[in-house]
Amino acid sequence: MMGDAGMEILPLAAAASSAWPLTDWSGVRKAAQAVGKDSERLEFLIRKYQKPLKLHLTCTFELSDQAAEELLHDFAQDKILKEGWLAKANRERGRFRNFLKSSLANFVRDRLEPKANVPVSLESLEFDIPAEERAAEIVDLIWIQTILADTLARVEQDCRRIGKPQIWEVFRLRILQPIFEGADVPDYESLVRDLGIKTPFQAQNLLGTAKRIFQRRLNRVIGEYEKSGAAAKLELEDLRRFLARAAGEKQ
Amino acid sequence: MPDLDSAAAVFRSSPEQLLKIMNLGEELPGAWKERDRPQMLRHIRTAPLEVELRAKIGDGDLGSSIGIKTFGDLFEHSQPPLELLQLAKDFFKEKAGAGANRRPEQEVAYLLYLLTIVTARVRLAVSITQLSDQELLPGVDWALNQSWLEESARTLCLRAREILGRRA
Repeated sequence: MMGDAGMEILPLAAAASSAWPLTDWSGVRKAAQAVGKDSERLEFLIRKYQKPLKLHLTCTFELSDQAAEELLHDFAQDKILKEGWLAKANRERGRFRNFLKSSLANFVRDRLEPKANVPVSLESLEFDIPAEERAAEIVDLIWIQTILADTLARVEQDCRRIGKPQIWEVFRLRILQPIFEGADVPDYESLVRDLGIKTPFQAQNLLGTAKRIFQRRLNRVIGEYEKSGAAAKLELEDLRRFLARAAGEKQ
Repeated sequence: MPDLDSAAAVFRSSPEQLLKIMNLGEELPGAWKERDRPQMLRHIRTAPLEVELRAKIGDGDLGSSIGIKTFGDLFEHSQPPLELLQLAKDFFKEKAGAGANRRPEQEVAYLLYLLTIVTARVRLAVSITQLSDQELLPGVDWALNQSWLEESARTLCLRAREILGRRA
């Protein structure tokens, strides 16, 4: 289905795969529709990235899943109705992803602020910096996983929609499955026979097309929250650097 | 073939795996390997000419009237049509790309490009290239050094080498 400004609102496969129960977002969606296009976009983004955002809350504030979900829901409703918040997000320097996380954390801190006259223990003011950093890394990792899951789902959908499922099949068998599963690449002969590919050049064309569709979709998914082309490009580089660092640390 | 739940796979993936996926748009990792070359060569030789050359020749005869249906038929025919060999040569030259760092499927195309020239030389005693015999020899030697060169093509290349070697 298409939202305003041609933005496709695709099924949120990644979020739907979460084991956490979903709060009823219909009220939030109605509020967003009542306010307008930008707010609909915000509501879509918060729902889409709710898995890493909830994790951000559970790790930062030691909340239960249910509490994190409710706070996220309230945050969405609050920001959607607050005029100018998204405009501020667009004006801020730095990544929208980080702005969203810090805005969410500030919102929750205000909500959890201890009442007056209740003594605060000194221990509760101690922050475990390494644990916070580790939590932030996990959140960003899940954010990236959400992006890529959505991108691949859209690539598959595109290939089937244009009547070229072979593009997806070659991509899946020769590239994705070997990366995800360490699977042996199927031998060329059985691949072309099973998919009815007539020549090696046709096979290469299919892969080249898959690559172009993938890149276009990846840029579009990132472009949903980093509106400008330059910002989206920087965000992509940032995400790659993060993964390279995380991969290097594991070795 | 078992299907792939790509979303589930992504959420199970390590940073290294995610990085490979993230970089797919920048460069396609070597999808075809060197071990695929003999199969690719066999595949294109048995492929109908129609698939790759019809767009270039329009309604023209692709050789079916004299029993040429595949690229393999073209190389084996005792009197292959010159125009068809030239068409095939241009097609494979384009697919072969520049010389440095050819991918496996480009090496297959380069070998087929050489085969079209060699076929014209051996079967028709005609040169369809601007390369001199001396310039052509290293290419023919390269083809002869490929373990995945099929027997009939090897015979053709050896014959061509004799001819080119004499004249060079």
